Amino acid sequence: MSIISTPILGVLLLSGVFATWGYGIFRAPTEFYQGEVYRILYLHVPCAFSAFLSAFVLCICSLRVLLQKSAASMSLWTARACAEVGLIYTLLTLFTGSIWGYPTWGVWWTWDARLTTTLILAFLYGCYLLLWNTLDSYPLRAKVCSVFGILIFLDVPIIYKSVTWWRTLHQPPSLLSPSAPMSSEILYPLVASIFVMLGFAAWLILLRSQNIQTHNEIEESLCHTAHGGTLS
Amino acid sequence: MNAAPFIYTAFGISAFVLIGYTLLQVRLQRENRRLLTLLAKGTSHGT
Repeated sequence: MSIISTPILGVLLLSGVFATWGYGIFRAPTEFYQGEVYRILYLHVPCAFSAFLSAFVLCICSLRVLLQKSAASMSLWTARACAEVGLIYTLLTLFTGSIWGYPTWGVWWTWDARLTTTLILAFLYGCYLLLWNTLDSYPLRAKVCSVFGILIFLDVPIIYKSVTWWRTLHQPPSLLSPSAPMSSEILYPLVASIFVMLGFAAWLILLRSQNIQTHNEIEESLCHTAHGGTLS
Repeated sequence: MNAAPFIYTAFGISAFVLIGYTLLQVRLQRENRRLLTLLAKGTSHGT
């Protein structure tokens, strides 16, 4: 077992995530325009970045599967893990965004460009997992899922630019915006919360991919013993 | 509008999901390792 995938590191990273949430809920200053409800920012934005990170790693792993046949298997397991973790983070982004949207916009959901493109990302992750479970044979599954994995990442820049390309309810990117700079008391903990959540997402991806790999090894071993008859 | 219910619902359910998924994966990791050990023992004691 790799030291990176130990539960202790996971507990440390999750504690870091909860520490940033605690700051967001109890210590962060009240925002002038939105009041208290903006505190969901410390959860919503890190979840969105983690969903994007999953799509990025999924794309890299899919490219490796298509280009390098020798390194295919571990990249394939990692891609599968990215789709699962990415789906969880995308659903959390939609959920927290909806809860933030109701007191701010007066609606739980609207077919806004940012919300719709994020919902499409969730559907794409779901379709990847469906494809994975539907296709049985190794080369076909690897090829189809890898091409689909690259397509999933194409949605990420569309999500990011959706607020500038179309007229939306969602606010434009404000993290590093020079026109409306954030207070350092809000900005620095937010950046910290993003990095800690990205670390936790990476740890989850690694753990999940190792679990998928081990599960596959067990299945192969069982098949081998069933055909060879060496299991006592 | 009182923001507290919205904030606590968002953070609470997200924490539940993340902790639940993590615990599930850690448990799966232990179970997989146990199965691998059993299989290794089984094959080494075989014919």
